[in-house]
Amino acid sequence: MTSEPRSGFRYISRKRRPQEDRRFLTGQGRFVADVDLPGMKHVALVTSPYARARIRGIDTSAALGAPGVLGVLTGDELARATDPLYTGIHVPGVRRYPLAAGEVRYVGEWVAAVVAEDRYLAEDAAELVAVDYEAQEPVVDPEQAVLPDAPLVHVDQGSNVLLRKRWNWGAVAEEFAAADHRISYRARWHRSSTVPIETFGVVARWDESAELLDVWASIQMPKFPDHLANALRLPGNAVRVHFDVDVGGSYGVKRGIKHSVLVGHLARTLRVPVRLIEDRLENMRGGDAHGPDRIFDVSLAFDSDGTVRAMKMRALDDLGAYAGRAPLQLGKPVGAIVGPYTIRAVEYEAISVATNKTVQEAVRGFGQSPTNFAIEMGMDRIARQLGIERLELRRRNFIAADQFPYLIPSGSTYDSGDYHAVMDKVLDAVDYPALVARRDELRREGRLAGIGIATCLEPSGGNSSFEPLLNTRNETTTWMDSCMVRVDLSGSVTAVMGTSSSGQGHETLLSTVIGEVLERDPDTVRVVHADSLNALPSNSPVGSRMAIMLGGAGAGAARRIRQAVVAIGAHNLGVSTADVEYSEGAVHVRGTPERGLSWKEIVAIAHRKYHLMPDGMEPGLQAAFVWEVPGGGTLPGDDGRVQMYPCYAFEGHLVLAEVDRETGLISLRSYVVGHDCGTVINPDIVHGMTYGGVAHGIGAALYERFSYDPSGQLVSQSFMDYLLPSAHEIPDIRIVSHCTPSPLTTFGQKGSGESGYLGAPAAVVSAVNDALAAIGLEVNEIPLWPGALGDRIAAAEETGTGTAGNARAVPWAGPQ
Amino acid sequence: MEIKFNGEHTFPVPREVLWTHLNDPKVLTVCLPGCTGMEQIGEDVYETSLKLQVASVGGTFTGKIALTDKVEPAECHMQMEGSGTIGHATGRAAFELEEVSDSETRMVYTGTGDVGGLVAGVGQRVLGGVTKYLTRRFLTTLDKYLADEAVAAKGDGNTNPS
Amino acid sequence: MKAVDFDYVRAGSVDEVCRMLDDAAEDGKVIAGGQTLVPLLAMRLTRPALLVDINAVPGLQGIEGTTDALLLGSCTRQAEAERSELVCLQLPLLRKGLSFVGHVQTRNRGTIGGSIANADPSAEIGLVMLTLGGSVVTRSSDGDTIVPADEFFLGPMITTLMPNEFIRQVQFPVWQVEGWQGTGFQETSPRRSDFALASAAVQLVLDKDGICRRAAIGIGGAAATPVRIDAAAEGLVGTTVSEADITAAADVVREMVDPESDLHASADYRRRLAATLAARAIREARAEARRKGEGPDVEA
Repeated sequence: MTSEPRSGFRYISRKRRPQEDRRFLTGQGRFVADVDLPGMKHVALVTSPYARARIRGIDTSAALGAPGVLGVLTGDELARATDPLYTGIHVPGVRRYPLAAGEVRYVGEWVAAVVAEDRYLAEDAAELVAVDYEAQEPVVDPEQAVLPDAPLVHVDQGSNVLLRKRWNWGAVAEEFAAADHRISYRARWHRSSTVPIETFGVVARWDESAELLDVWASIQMPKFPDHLANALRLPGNAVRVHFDVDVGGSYGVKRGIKHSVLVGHLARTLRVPVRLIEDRLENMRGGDAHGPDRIFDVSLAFDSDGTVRAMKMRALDDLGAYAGRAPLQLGKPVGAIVGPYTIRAVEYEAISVATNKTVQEAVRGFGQSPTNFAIEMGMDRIARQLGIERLELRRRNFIAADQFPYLIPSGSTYDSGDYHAVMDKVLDAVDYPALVARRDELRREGRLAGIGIATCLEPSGGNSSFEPLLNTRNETTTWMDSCMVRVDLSGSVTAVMGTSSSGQGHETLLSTVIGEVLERDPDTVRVVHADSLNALPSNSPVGSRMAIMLGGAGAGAARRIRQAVVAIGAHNLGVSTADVEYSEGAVHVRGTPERGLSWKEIVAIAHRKYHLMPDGMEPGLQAAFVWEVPGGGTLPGDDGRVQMYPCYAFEGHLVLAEVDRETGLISLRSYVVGHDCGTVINPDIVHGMTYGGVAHGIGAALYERFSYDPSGQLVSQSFMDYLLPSAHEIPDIRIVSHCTPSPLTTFGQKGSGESGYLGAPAAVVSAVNDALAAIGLEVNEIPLWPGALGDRIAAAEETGTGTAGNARAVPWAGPQ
Repeated sequence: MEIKFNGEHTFPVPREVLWTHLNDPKVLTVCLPGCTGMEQIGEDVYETSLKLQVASVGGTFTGKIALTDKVEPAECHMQMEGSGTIGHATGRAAFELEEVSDSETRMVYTGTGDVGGLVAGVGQRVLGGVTKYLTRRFLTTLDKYLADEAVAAKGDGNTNPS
Repeated sequence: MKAVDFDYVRAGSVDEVCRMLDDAAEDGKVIAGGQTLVPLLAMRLTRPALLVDINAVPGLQGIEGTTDALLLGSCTRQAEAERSELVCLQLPLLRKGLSFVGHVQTRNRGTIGGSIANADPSAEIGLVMLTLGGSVVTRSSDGDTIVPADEFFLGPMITTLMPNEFIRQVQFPVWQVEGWQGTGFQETSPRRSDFALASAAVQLVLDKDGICRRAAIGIGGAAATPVRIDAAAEGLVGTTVSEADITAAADVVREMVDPESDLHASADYRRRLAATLAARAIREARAEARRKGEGPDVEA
């Protein structure tokens, strides 16, 4: 790691141990599975073995008679008692309930739920639920699903195409006509996800006397309590979600709304506390937590000097059986559709297609990483075609430091950046000529070695603008977050946040920024997670937003405390607030340090001595702050131009890979990533997320895939076949930090929760293609498994052509 | 998960004998691995139950077998479907019986199966091999059945049990 | 992922194990390290009525040397075998193979006999046993039966082991051939410690003139069971194990294996991979033998 960026901060950007470490490293985390309520009962699920089938009938009698069983719930019953789950886009023919009603649409879809004394008995009884299925022809291939004669996943919707939007930003046709060169290519990102160690879990208890549903869930979802109450047909204040539950990993996927509606309903109707903890199989096939599954067809227009003038991109996403978050994940990339480049005109078509597969959920980057992968593949192709060194090509196209704020064709303004500087730093740190020499040495030994390069952006500060962009019925223009800071009589500081955390270190974040503003030791600041009834509004940690949004809210509340302290101090010192200085909580007359009041004295005045308070000031010492997304508050234009997110972090990857010519096995020899996310609040946390993000991206590039067979069976339901990278597979990763502060945020911070993941898949593929160029082979789909790659290398060496077996390249055909 | 299987096997019996046996639910009950019962529910349609155990992995299944497109004694198609606790399967197979000699018949078979449910979700790596093994076991059991029957028949001729 | 109800007995003697299995008729199952069985139980893919735990049975653990074999108690932990000096000196091929078995954590628990009984076509321990021509000592209330490795494996996860039998001991021959012995174990899997897409185990002996006096080649993951390719090994005997000899042996391997396609690799890939890994393992073994003979590891 290179030296940290210098900062003028007291606590921010300093290397400090995250507050949460002690709890987690000593096994003291409190996860949903640790919530053990007296009399709690357990749910097991009956799930569909078919990709598509009509449910002719369900016989629950044997299960109801089994030992320890309290109840069996079917989809028809639940659909009568609840409202459909919220769908982000307008598809009235797609109604989604926790349990399938009438028809199953993917393998693993829940059909019935059994509640019993323990999970063993529940599973015993679940086997006795007899479901009479009439299997039907499923639709599995997304390119078949768009055809008019394809079976319909939702007959009422009339089409499998649930979303099709096309925008044209800039003079695309003119740029294509004027350019020296044009290329078209396909990039295929197969279905993977984030797969946390902790599966989704939820416990619910209905208090009949209070008419209140208490919920503990491993949740990372905006507006979860509202959605839950709506589906259960309860007023919002009849649902209390406890946010003090540690979430064992998420990066987007912990949105168990269907789990929670089901369990909430069961707890309410059975009048017992009910718990559902997904097992791994349930999580993999029916947790509705798969990630993007995309086919990109891209055309680029560029000049002989390497300048990329325009891009046409069509992204077809196989969203699975229900809309979920998948269509919206085609919307977010609009905000960084040109990556870090000065591409002047873009045509973008987003198509979401329903198939008989598991539902997608939000996944780290919300669709940005696949898009980056597709763009970067084009940059490499242009470089190869023109014979320009690949990094040099990118540098020629980078937005320059003096061009910020920079408006991209799709309407978002990038806040700040210095991409050239970051890459200079990376090249210095890694000794690029030595890396090239190492690659060439491997090549001389007869090996297939390559260097991969990827540069891309992390849009951050999530504001959900993709919702109004893709659904005109949705007029969301705020995506606020909040914090309340209290100073108690003893003078200690407590901050209250209104959402749960899934490993992002929010307690460290909040305590650090509050400590910074109040000049108090952050380790003395306690951070608590409210429940949804006493929390200020939050939109949860999505879209790399918490450093910006929760950090901004915490700082805002702390500033109000600081102002109150200054006001009380000045009042009691008999001077104006302009004439006092605040220092580490104490206040003294400017220039006269001996004339002052200590923190303790001021706190005591606020809490006990109202007679010493300035007129009109409320007693106590507390402040709430609700922070709106910087630059938020406007709806997208009719042309689809939108300020997607406020802040844009940058990352540049450089990786050395070797491909075993005979086995097709890829090994990564060296990995360095340059990262600029503005002001870093806590370096360990940011670096930890970046390391994990790179590993996650390597997983997407080389290992992880939810594989379906032609009949719609998910054939990778366990970790035998869904390959998560382990420490063995991840090389040493070196992070080179740079800081270009954002002008829009409290301390210049940007988001970082998706860092690493956004560029790693592109970088790994870039390295592999650099290696394979020696035998005239190019790959364009991930993950790259040794079996398939080995077959292609063998074919290429036999026939001398390298494109056999590639995902078919389809030239841009324009509107259809 | 689609599984293809094909091969050939030569039985030491005349074609008509093999044909008769292949159409005899009693014989199939004995020779189909794990078969615990077979009941005729229509012309050439049988309901079967299986308790299948391959190494540690096992379960009970119920299903249907239908024989179609018969060209006696040379050709027959078979359609199968079944489901049980750990998964479900459908399959179709075609058998051709060729006379090798008066006392030998070669069976040439091709088939495809489609397996779903848990066993496809977690067992894809070995399903192909297991299918091959079960097919072989069916053929060798039938072989042995025919041989035993021949010995018994021979016994019948030579002695006269009371 | 909760097992169905079953009875559990922690057996105290070999005879008790036999009695329990007899009593359970066909519904008993032996558990040793449980590294495969427990997930199968949890997924309800296996449903024994009785689980007979052999971990506390005296006499099933430990490694014993005879003049021409190492006898490993079936309940010997893989980690113990991996660290055993006897194994290191006399069965280096097993030691090499063990390093590919699962992870350190699973080897601490998993047993030699458990892996053999599980008969995964990609498993390393069974491959080594088969390659060296070892055998399995099975036990039932009728006593011991010695089953040669060639006969033991019938199909993927299928062996000759009957429901009333369990593995008492696994025997690995130790070669007594004059000369320099070398071993090679090569495996390719998507991730380290995944099930092998294919693997190759080779043991050979070179005499003082660098001539191969004895050789064995086994391939895992490229057929329904591990397979020993005797024709390839015999082709090496009498040669200097030149690159041409290695290519010839690999070509035989390519012809002899009978792999299946699955999600992760095609049959063609496995066939090529088996040959590639066989060649690499032969080279590894040759280099080791030549090093011992202090001869240069160069093309003769």
